[in-house]
Amino acid sequence: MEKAENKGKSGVQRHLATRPSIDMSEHGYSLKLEDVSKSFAGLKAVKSVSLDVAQGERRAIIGPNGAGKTTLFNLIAGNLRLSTGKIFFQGKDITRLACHRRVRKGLARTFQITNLFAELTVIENMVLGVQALQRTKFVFYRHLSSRQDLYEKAVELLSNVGLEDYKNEVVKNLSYGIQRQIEILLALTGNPSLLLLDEPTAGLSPSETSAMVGLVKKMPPSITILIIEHDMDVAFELVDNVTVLHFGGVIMQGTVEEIKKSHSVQEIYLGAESLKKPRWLGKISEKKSAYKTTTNEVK
Amino acid sequence: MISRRVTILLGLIAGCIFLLVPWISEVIIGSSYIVDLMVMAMIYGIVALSLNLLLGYMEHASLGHAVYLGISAYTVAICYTKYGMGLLSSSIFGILVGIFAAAIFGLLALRARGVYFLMLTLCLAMMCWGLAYRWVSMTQGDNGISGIPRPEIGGWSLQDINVYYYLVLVVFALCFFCIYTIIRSPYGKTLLGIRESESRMGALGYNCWLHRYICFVLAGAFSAIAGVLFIFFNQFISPSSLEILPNFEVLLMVALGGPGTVVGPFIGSILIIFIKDFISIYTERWLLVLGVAYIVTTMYAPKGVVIYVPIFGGWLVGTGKNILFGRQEKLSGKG
Repeated sequence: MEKAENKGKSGVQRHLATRPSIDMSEHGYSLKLEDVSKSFAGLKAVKSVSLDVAQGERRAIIGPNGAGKTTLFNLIAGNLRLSTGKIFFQGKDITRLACHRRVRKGLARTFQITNLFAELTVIENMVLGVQALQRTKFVFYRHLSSRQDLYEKAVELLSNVGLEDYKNEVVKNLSYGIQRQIEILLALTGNPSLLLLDEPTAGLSPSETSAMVGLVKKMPPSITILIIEHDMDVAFELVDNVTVLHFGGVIMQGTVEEIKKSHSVQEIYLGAESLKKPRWLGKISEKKSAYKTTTNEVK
Repeated sequence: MISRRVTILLGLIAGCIFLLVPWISEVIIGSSYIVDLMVMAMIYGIVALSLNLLLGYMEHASLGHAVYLGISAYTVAICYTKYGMGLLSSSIFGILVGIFAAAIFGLLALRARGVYFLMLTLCLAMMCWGLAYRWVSMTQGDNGISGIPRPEIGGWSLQDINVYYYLVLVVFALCFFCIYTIIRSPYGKTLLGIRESESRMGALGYNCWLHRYICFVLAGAFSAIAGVLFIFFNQFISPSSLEILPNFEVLLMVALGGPGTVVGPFIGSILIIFIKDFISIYTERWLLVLGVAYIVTTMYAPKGVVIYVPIFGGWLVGTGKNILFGRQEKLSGKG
């Protein structure tokens, strides 16, 4: 496994190096959210979130269940329309762009619940990913197998992470851990410059989790990664900065060290009490001592 | 799975049988009765094969697919009898109008999915039926339009049913080949992707709506081609061709034969056309049998009858799983 990972490092980077370079002089950020809100019939799932993610930054978005993390991802990826606010990607306003147009600009995502073409084989999944941004996808008068290059690129991506042995397996027959890896590989087929990872390690065993961490770490530094993660060890290992969401709003933003030290984050993230008391903000000092034991577990 | 060589052999045998149908019919029952039925089976076979693009590869069940057949057939009849256009030009015009109708209906129906898509397509089909039934000045209403002659092609009079049979066979073979090519093309794969997970296709950068729309219009186009064959075969068209029944029959052909298989829908259309004819000798309650057939199919053979016939295995059937890379061994050998 170790060997395969090392081999993969150069491979993924080689693959991603073909991405058109972005002029960074005009704008230092990859993604910028301005006052983004989303309501579902009265329920404010995301409340005026503003976010700046620099090019090449690794950012984690954490928060308890129902904090609006996945909704935020759906807004960024274009699966949902915002109620108010604006989203900029590489200096361009993408607020009103459809999902697939954002992908063409270099934005890719994975899904919290594995979302693959379950009845198709691994290689077929990958080929669908590879041809997504090419004109080939509209060709209906020739056999797909005449495009050997698509197939080879898909195999190359798989072999980068040592999964080429599974290429002829039907996805639904594979283990969950491998499905999660393919989930990420599929997002990489479009050479993205911004990758949204929605809980990549959810439900994985410890060894599968470390394989996943290795996969994400291997990605070239130029690629910006936004990651939702519940496992704090994983999140703190992968990212530089953390944004904490709670009840749809940004509570705190800072480096991993700052977040680790923050008591308010410990409170909302670990304390079940906070759910009973939505207006927890004023109460932190009283409760501080009660969370000390659980705090150690995080570190 | 049987080898490619065997399937090619089977295809050749089937081709020979199709070529010999007029002779077989003459020998067995002494008339061209079987030829008539086979012509109908092939005309509806084209419609079923094209509906299979929607139902089998994209899981969009349309209950208004035979309507494009009706629209193009009506257009040919009206153009010829009312406006005195030539048979060739009215045929081309008929196909174009059928495609145009599919393009308009697609805009409306593809806003929905699942059972709502089914209801919308049914609703649009019923509107066409209403138009044919009530717009008497144009369609002659309930009486239908008659008096469309079969044309002559290169000295061969299509009035001879055996000659017409071979024309339909050629058109059917061409349509079969086209649909087969579409299924195996890069574009055809995107339909499978949309069937499996539309949200993932969107996240990969596919404009799913456009792919669904193209598929809908393509399917409508094949149905419209079948409409031209239909009008010259029957030489008569009435609103009954636009009723819910033919639409439902086509859906049943696909469901019975095997949605998502290459030959299944055509097998289904042969079965339905022949069984329908056979039963109508004994009883008028054909609809009852149709309903029972549908229930039995969905309960005991939801993937269609062809997958129970091992001789149709392999690439000829090509269910979702093995359809992407028909020549996979060859590919992986190179790669």
